[in-house]
Amino acid sequence: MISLGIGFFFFILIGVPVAFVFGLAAFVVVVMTDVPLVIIAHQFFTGLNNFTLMAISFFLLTGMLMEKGGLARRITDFAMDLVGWITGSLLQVAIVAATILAAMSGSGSADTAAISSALLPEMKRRRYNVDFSAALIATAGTLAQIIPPSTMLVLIAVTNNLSISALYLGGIIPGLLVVPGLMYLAWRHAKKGGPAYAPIERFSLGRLGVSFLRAIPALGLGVVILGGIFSGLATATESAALAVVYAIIVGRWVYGDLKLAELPRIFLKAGAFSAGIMFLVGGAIVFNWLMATEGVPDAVSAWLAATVSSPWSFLLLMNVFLMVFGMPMESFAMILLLSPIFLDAAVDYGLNPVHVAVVFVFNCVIAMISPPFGGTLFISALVAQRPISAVTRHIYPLWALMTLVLLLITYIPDLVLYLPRIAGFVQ
Amino acid sequence: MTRAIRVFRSVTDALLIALFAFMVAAVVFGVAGRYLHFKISYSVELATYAQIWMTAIGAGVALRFGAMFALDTLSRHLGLAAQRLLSVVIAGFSLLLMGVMFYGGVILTESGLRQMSPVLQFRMSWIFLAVPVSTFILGVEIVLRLIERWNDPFGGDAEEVA
Repeated sequence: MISLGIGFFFFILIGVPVAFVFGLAAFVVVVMTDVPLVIIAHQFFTGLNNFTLMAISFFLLTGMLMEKGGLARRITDFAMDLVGWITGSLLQVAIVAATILAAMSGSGSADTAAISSALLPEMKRRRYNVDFSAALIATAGTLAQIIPPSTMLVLIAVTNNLSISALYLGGIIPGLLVVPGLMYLAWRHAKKGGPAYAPIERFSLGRLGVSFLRAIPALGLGVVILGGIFSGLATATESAALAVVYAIIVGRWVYGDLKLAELPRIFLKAGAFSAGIMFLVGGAIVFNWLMATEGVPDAVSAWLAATVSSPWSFLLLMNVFLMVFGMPMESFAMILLLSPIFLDAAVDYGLNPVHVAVVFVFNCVIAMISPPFGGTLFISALVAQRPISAVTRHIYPLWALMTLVLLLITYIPDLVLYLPRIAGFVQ
Repeated sequence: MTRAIRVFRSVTDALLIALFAFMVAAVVFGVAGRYLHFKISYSVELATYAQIWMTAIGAGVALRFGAMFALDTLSRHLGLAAQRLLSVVIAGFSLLLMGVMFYGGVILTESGLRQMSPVLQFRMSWIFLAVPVSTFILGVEIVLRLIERWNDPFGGDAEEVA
């Protein structure tokens, strides 16, 4: 157990890709024990031999197709007519667009890239504070990982044998809780910001109607994905595959923005990122198998039972641990490595695994904007052409808001469990 | 040499695109078959095996595109000579893992000669072969990455995705 831990942290700290670290740490244990080497290859294969995991690749691809096919732009235009009349309108547009996109895309990175590309140039032109704007877009972009369909919720469901539909329903209220807080912070920033933040346009019902009609084909993507899953007509993987086809059809033949010649490049980019995640999954399966063989989850459960008395203290401990661990660690790796341990222990405390899984993923969402390695923070800073440190200076109030919502969903479980319960997924 | 690398990468890119497209098609035909009453019971198996091969081929592409996350806490504080040394150490450990997995993958592939897939009934060695192929491609990309980034070992990615 000690060699597994030392190996893991040594390889991580010197900068070996995380996807390789799992396998290398496992190799250290294999060398020191009687486990045959072939077990690494076999467990790696077993990890990838999973139909449900495919949903992650398809959701990544859909996110990229939405950006290139003009679906994200139509939704942003609709959001502009919906909230463009509020002070700090472009900031509000970013939040509303991110929320709508979140219901169609499972990738926070893709949404952040789409919104940043669409709005940041105009924000710069209007002399908005670009660093704050980039921080806000990075935070709003993370909603894609908590509002269904989320790739992180798929991964934690697969890793812990939970219902994807239950987790998707559980993520809706926590995601929506973030939105008013973000809108308030954006409004407060804009009020202090002076004339640059004046509304772009007056509200017009006619214009809103036109942009809504134009956005309908794009919004239909949400119906394909969520309708398919919640109606039971298709599994998450199947809905995700149908979403890919739908996004291609709408992007190419309805909006005309997507060129067929661009498809190979989009498939290549999404395929590369998917393969990176899948390789991580394969390595983590090897690592987790060895952790289980070495008795790590049992030892952690026993330690927790002896040290932490109440379920609420356990949840606090989990949140603090994940927030600290989430700063240097990649979110997918965190789910693969730690969720089986925490979810196993949570059941011992009588907690509902759907609740704990959503809280766990919310921690991962916060990690995406946590300095120094927040993923969406990097993307928005990149598009804004600003140093990450400058954008990071504005992340703290947004980070505090996310932490407040985390505490709410942690200690009021019904905020997560209400929808899965009325749908019959949990007791 | 440069031409060989270009051909190697073009082939892996093309295979990755084809396998991903095949995955989408297999799942969509499976859904269509369920509602249009033409039975395609093997679509799940085909799609899953395509995913395994896509990961095998795509892992090297992911490394090239910078889609494999690594901590740069240590490397950021080092000078060029120390960065070069560290990049050699990281590549060495990575190649060690690839060697182990290649060896394990070959044994796994041999064992697959005696196993058949549940639905399509072809030898599992065709699927297990993905493990050694993947580690071979990754091994090549690890070495190329080391060479291509020698003057800036932890700088931008060797090839950015447009």
